Amino acid sequence: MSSSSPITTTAGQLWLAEAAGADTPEALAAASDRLCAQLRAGLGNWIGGDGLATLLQRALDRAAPAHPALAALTARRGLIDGVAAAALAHGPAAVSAGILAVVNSLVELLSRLIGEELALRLVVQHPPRRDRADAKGSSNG
Amino acid sequence: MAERPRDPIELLATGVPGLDEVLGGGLPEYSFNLIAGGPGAGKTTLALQTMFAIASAERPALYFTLLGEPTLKLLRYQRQFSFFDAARVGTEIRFINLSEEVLLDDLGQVLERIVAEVERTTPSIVVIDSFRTLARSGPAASGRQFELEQFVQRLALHLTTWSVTSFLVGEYTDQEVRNPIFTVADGILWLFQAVDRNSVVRKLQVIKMRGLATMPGLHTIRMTDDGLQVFPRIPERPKHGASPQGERMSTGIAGLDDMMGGGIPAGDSIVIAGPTGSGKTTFGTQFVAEGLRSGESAVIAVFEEHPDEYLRRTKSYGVDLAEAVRRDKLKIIYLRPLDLSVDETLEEIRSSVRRLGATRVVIDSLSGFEMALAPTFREDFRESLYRLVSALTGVGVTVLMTVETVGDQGDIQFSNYQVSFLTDDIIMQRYVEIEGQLQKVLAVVKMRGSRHSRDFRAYEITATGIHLGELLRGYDAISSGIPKLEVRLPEARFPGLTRGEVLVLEMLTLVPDASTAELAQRIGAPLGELEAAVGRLLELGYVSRGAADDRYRAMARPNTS
Repeated sequence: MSSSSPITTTAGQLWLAEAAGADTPEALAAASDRLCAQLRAGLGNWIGGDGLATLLQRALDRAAPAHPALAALTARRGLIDGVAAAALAHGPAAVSAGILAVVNSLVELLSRLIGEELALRLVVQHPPRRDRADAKGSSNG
Repeated sequence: MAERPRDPIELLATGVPGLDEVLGGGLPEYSFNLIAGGPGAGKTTLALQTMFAIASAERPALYFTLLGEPTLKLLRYQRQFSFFDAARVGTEIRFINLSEEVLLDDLGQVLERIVAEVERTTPSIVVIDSFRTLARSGPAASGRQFELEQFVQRLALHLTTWSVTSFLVGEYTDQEVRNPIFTVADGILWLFQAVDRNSVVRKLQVIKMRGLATMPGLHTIRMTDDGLQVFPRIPERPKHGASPQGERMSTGIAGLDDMMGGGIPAGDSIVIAGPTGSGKTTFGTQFVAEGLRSGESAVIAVFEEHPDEYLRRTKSYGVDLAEAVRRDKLKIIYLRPLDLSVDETLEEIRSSVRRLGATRVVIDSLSGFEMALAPTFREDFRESLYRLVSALTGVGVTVLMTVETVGDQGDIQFSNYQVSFLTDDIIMQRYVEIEGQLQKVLAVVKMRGSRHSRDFRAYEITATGIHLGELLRGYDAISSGIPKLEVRLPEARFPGLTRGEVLVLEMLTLVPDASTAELAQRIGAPLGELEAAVGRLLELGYVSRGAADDRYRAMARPNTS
């Protein structure tokens, strides 16, 4: 896959929108939570919370072999656990690169299922105002 | 008292070809509908296709999925259809997954979420799929039927007051028609799927649609790359009767029009029935060619021969149908697959007739048509065919159908189609043995409300088509296939002649320029008696000498009346 494909571009934009400037383990964990809440409010609204959680777990499993910093992370109920601890152990940059790979893998998986055009539309959907507020509220960071 | 003008309900185009016709014009705006049926019948596709047709940027569509089909799978498969425009997803078409609310087993929360989404979006159309999930996993399953009934009532009320057209999609069986949802719904569309041997047949029935005169019965549906298509059962039309001007359509076969009192009455249905190889297809071709020569358009439905082969063969009759096809004056419909439904075949014919403004239709043959159908549809074949013929002749189209006859019985056998019920006119063909030779003969058996010849007439098929020959007068039992030359003795018409002399005279009428030896052989009389009879007939002026001295021919008869 080309590094400048629409999938990688979209994944990068999604992650950077939340993780830009997150250079501490705590900030990275908060960025990860916001991203997951964003996906849950947007994509999850379409495919269901269970659907999103399954997709996220699968994306993490696919990305982990190439990113040792992801080894200790787990996807649970649509959230990625263990981000702060992993950032302490491997450094925020390595974990950030790993999470970017997870997002990339998630969009790629979705594209395989429903086609790239539709997948990109669904992941960049802006969540409803109410759900955005909920998402921000549910973030721990 | 002046009648108050009615405020008509607006009807929405569903985007499903044929469905609006079945519904009686379209889907009533703000109606609360149920799409029911078994798995795989096409319920979700029908709902989505309609959504894409109705939704707009100002009034989007909301598609709520419950526990039935995971949204990812739904999107994966539905996006294959041409109506599924991914560019509209997210703006005009929105999917909302309610599986978490459903799993909480709290219908109040499910309703609250639907209400919130609808209020926020102000959609034009709402689909809840699969609604059946609530009944299986929710309150009904745990004995709280009343709660489910309340939920349905409140949902229907909300959706109606929001001015939303809605569909609940669910798997139901025939035994569940007492379900409260069936009472509340304004419209119920029921989809069926039946597997018969190797064919799959889908059908749709509009159980009810408030405020509309829907088309009754089961309508065939087919799933293609474009989604669902409904083939409405063609409604029966009252026969218009003979053409007001008494217009006749030429058959294109010299002499046959005269036998039919001037041709086929315009708007009649006619059957050409005959054994294999008797030239039924050629009849049809000449009928169409004659129409094309007169500037008419025509449709031919062939089932036993590929159009290319058909066109190639007709060229040898001096008829270039290919050119007519190119000029869009002729449509050749070739339908061969073995899972065809009658309705979709008939719709193909009907739409072609409409498009070309065709006045002549040939169906060649009914036997091939029936064979091309899925087994399930063969049961309805005769009834559907009757509806097609009525629909076409009702608008003045003349329909010629060919039927292969079976058996070699003395009475006329028209296979299983009850041809007289189907048609106004019948021409029968058959093989007969005359003097050790196989000949083709035809007769006009029936013409509804019209005089016609009752003679059998020999015909030949040559490189240029069908050519009628002489009348088969004097023969009996032609329809048995082995005619007998029976000479009747109209003695009273020839006073003064003996029986034998009359017999000789009649034979000379049938076999002109015959010698006494030939006459003796044909009649089976001794030569001496024959010569005496011929001598007396010569003397009385009934007979004259023929081409040679020993040959004789009958003269114009003296007026003996």
